[in-house]
Order: sequence, then C-alpha cells, then structure tokens
Amino acid sequence: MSVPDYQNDPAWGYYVYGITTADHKPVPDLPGIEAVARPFLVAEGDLAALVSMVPLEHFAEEGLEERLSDLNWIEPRARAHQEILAATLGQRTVIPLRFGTIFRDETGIHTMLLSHGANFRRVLAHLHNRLEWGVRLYVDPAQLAAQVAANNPRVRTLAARCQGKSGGAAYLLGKKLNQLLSEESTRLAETYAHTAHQMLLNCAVDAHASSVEQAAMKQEPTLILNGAYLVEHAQTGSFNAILEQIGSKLIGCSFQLTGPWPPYHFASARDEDSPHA
Amino acid sequence: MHELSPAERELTLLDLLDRILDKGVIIIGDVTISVANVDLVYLGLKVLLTSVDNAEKLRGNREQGNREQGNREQL
Repeated sequence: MSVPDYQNDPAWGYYVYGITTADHKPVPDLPGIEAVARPFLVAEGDLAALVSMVPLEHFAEEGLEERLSDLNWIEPRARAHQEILAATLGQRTVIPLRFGTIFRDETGIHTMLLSHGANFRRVLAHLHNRLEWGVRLYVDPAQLAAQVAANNPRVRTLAARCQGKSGGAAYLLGKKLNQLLSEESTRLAETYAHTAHQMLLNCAVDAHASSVEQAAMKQEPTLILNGAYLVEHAQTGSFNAILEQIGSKLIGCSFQLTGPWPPYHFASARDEDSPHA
Repeated sequence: MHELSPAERELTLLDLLDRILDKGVIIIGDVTISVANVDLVYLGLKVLLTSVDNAEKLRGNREQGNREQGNREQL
C-alpha cells in the first residue's frame, strides 16, 4: 500500500492533538483531522506529541474565521480532535491541546517538547490513571417549591398565619408567602449545588465547577451546577454511586453525566504548582 | 461499574466545542488559531448552537416577564 508522503510535503503540516509519554503503545488507528492521514507520535526523549498531517492551507489565516464559524467545517474536525484523544483513554495518559495547534515541520515539535518538558511531565503525572467526567445538575422548580413548602420552618409559619385570613390581610400575606417561597427555593437550590459538589469531591482528585446564578427559577428544569471532575480510574464506580445518591437524596434534582472525556479541564498545571517557564 | 445509556454518553456538539475550543493547553505552534480568534468564533458558535434551542424558551420567558410587569403596574 502506498501512502502519499505528507511528512515531506511542504504544503502539509503537523496537527498536534495532545502530549503523551514516548513509548511503543499503539496510537488510535482512526482517521485524523484530515481523514486520509492517521495519527502517529513524534517523540523527544521521554515525551511525545500525538499528531497527524493536515494541509496547511486549511488553517491559513486567510478565510480562517469564516471556516471556523462554519459548523459544516468545524464539526467534523472538532469530532476528529475529540475522537482521536478519546480513543487513547485507558491506554495512555494524554494532555489535550486546544483545537488548532499546527507545526510546519518536526523541528518545531521537538523544540516545543523540550521547552515545555518539565511542565508536561508534571501535568502527565497529575493525569495518570484519571478520567474527566462532566456533571450537570438540574432542579425542577415545582418540586423544589413543594419541598420548601413542606419542610422550611419560616415558610410553614407564614403559611399557617395565612390560614383563616381574608380580604386585604390574606392578599398581603399571600404576596409575602410567595416572595419567601421563591427566596427559600433559590437558597435550597444553592444548598443542593454546594452539597452535590462536596459529595462528588469525595471521589474526585480535582474539579472545575461553576454554580450557576439563579436570578429566577424558570418553569423547566434549571441548571444549578456545571462541573468537570477528575476521577481515579478505580473510583469510577464510586463516583457513579455518589451521583445516584445525589439524584435520590436531593429531591427535585436530576443530573446529566457526560464522559469519560480526555482531561480538557485539567490540562494546565494549577497556578500554585506552576513555577512559570 | 454500571453502564451508561447511549443518551447519557452522547456528546453534544456544544459540550464538545466548550472543551476543545475553550479548554485544553494553549501551545503556540507555527500555525495557531489565535486566542482572540477562537474566543470570537467560540462565542459565535455558542450563540448559533443555543439559539435554535433557546429561542422558544427566551420568547416564552420574555412574554411571561412582560405579563408579570403588566400585573405589577396594575396593582
């Protein structure tokens, strides 16, 4: 089988998916960003870049913004980037690079691996045997309000005062009750988000989570937590068990789990342990 | 370990773009999509991808908001 020699074609460059350790483990035998070119490793000492060849003109500055904004152009490439990295999960540790990092020749890759070597080694050690999971937590506002109405002492006291009132007094107390119900629902949603995050942290070694501001509870399930968790391979079962617990303990909550992902959120060394190259 | 359903495992394009365009290590290559470029494109795609899904919701919320506003003014 004769394969065109893209590596010696100056019109083609090296698209880098991620950084891994140099070894003889197989790399994914999948179509690359440019489907005709399969991924391979470019090694420098103990480190290697996972790459495949791409036509440089596809990523040329001219017209790039249009191409990037075109879903038909970016979607298959984004998926290829993801699929190549995802196919390495469980076989090797990889630091995912951001989409669109290309070198004209191998020399550039060797220089990059040498100059960032210490940092890459530290991050690879942090990511070893660990997977990224995405968790989204939602609440159903109606169920949440029902919880608050049934269990919140302030809401119950006020509700009791409304009993037997009529006319203007009932109207004013009713308004106050709705206001309190809405405030306490928001507070309960925040507690849920915090509790769920703390529970997940018991099984995660690192996390990037954002709790979502609840200006107003909408009718449909409302997103209250969006997190990425770095979890030991061996803890995957426990992590799933905690999610099930969250779903059953926090009434009105539902979750969506995605992954395992290549560790995109954990690809950079944390500031505190990065001496800055 | 229990198996995730196909729906749970399905990667939405937005989830994917969130990660590959907004996360991951930035290394300066010979050809690198500049951060500014990606930020703009990423925001654009986010709007594009969420617009179809959210247009209805947003319209619904705005109408509801207007109604509430109207009620308050009447009181």
